[in-house]
Amino acid sequence: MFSAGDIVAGLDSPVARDALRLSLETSLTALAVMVLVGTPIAYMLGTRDFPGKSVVVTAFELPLVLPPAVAGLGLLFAFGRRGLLGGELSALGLEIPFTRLAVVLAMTFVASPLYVRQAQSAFAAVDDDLLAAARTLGAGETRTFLRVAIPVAAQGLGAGAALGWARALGEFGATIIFAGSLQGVTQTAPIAIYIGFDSDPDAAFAVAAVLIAASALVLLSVKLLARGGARRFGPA
Amino acid sequence: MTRPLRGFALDVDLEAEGTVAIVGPSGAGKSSLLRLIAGLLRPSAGLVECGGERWFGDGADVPPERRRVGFVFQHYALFPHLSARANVAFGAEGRDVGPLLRRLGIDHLAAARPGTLSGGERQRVAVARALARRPRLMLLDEPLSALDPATRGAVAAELAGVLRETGLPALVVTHSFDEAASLSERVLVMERGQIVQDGPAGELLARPATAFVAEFAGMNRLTGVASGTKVLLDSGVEVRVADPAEGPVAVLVAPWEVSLSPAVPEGLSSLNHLEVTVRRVVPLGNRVRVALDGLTAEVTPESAARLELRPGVPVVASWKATASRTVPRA
Amino acid sequence: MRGAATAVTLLLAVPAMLAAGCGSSSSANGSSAAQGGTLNVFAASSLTEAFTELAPTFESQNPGWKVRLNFLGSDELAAQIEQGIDADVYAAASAKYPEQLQGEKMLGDTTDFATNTLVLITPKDNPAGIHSVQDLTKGAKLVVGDPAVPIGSYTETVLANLGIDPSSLNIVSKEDKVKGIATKVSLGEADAGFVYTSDANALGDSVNVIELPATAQATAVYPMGIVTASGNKEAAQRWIDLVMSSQGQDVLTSHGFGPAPSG
Repeated sequence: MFSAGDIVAGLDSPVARDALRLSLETSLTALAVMVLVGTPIAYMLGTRDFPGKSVVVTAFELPLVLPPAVAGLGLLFAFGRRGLLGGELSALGLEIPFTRLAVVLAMTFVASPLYVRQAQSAFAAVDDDLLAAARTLGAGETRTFLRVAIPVAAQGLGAGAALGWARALGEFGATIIFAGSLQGVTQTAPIAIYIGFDSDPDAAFAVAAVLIAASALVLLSVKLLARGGARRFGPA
Repeated sequence: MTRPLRGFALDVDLEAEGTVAIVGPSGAGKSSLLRLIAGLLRPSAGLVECGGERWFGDGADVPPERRRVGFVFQHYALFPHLSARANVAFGAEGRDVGPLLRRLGIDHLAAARPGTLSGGERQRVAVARALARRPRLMLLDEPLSALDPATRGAVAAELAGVLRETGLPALVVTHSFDEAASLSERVLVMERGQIVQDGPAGELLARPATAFVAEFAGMNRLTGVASGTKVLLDSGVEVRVADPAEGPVAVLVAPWEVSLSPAVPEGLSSLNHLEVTVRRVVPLGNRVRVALDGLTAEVTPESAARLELRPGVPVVASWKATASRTVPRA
Repeated sequence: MRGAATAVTLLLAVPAMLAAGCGSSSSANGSSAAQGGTLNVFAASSLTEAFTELAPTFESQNPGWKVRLNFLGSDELAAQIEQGIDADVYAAASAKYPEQLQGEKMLGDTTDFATNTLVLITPKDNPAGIHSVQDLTKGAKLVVGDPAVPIGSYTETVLANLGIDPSSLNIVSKEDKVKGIATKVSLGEADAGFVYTSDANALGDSVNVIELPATAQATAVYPMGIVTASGNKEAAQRWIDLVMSSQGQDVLTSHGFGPAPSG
């Protein structure tokens, strides 16, 4: 069996350290994007009805049911050099595949639906009267969203963010197709484990151990946050 | 203004100054009315104006945050993540809310979270929060119904005082006639989206416009078949009335016209008598409501004590023929 | 590579990561009946077209048998066999991994059944104007295989033979299987890539092929053997026989492979 010493030794390799650092940076970036963009969208979906709502929801949930490889190809078809937006992007001097941006995009694409879904039900669970009260007290839509909806839904939002981050961290199939694999640039931890499995098992196992520890820590903090939240609000 | 509701349209034409209590059966549209005025619901047609300012109608549609209303929700809708003081200050636009907290007797709770407060305390925070907005109009949706009956009476008196002090027009929705009567001189009754009666509480009692109003106001309503000044009640007892009639009728008797005694009083044959059992005794300030089989009486606390009124005790309920009114029944 | 037990621990430790987007993995049970069953053939991804064409031939020659093909990088297949995933035949693009398995007593004797050479390919419209390997030093986006995969190590050999320092090239990705390289070049995302002649053959018109100088070539030799834990050794042998037959060899040649080395 591997010991803690083996893990530390494994982490000594530049491949392992680059992979972990890259995974951390890109997954946190993806998390920021999905939270910033996804939260207002989830609020809209969770608190109001509008014509075409089911179409929007379906579009959002699509990445959830796509096999990751298909998602990767889809991203290429959209953002690749020869893709739908390729011409416009090239004109701006932006070629996305094989870059760190591609990694972030792939992660965001596959993980956002997880966050948006959770956030949507968290917002839907907020008592309508609380939002109505805020409006009668002079808060417009934005202030109500920021000062009432988000704090009250915070626990669900946090759980969603944890899920989204974990999915982004473990993302593999879409990334390898859309971004490729290059140490320090696009070789994220899961890819490094997959490729290094055979040639450098020490590094691979070390990376895997760190990923598992990180995921466990996130889950734990979500649980603790949940209990803290209940204490904060007092008995209902 | 009008708005389609479940099964019928809300069609209301109303002007208010001072406190107006709005009562009616559930589903009548009372809460919808408040929300329409506040801008939380949109009418399909009509006009909402407050103090000369048009809030809705003829192209105007002012969003709720710009209509200065103070809304108190049935379950208070206090923000759970903010302290009582922060809740009150939410709509106060930076003004100091200290004096308001003191006036409502909750400044000792300023730092507490709503989850730790009692029902009565939460109600006061909700009222303070609405007032802190310096609204032009107060809208209260069943502000007392979430409280237990014991606290309700005291809080109702307090609330009436606060509303009077502010001098603001206030619409208070309540499902209890007694609360309506204690909160306001003007009671509006809504049924199925329409206003069916609008006047002082006494008038609702004396001249109820509909069967609902009569029952709601606590009038006793005994159904039977009349022939002349005699009415054979559905319960089998025959009573005397002052207004002659024929056919199916409802005999209306006010609760305070009903006197209670342990046995049939002797020698007063012009009185109607019913032998009944006490079902419930409800003290209401300086009078006591006694619910009996099929009718309600109101007596002084002294009488209630003297008669040792308790659920299950048999009594005789009596009233004069002239104290009743007869109305035809469909 | 350590023993199977450690490898199993490692696999248990990374379930989610590998589940997301791995290639197909075969886990069917071979039948122990002599007549009929499923034959699991694990083959390097460069053999995709050729073996897919041969499978129906085998099935018609051996009624009752179905061929289950699993195409991945040779290293990935070796790892799966080490974990005990059901495999009957293992065909790799280099001797490295079969020898490793033989050392672990997991693979029987091997037969070299084909050869392959490398070529440089570009998208059809050749956006970076590549006409030789030297042109790559001008900075075109190049995709190669990861050194852990046979195509990757062969590419390193070719570059070394040509005296080109890999760090002078703009390598944008080191793929885990040769088909990944092929896809990226044919889609036009990369400007160039090193693949097998057989892959270029399969891509047809969608790519330009630049032949490599014979002196710089790395010849890939493909060995194939029967997995020791297989319950279908007879059927496995019949597959190998089919591949070695003139029929099998013709199919391989038609897809761009070189013949089995003689002797």
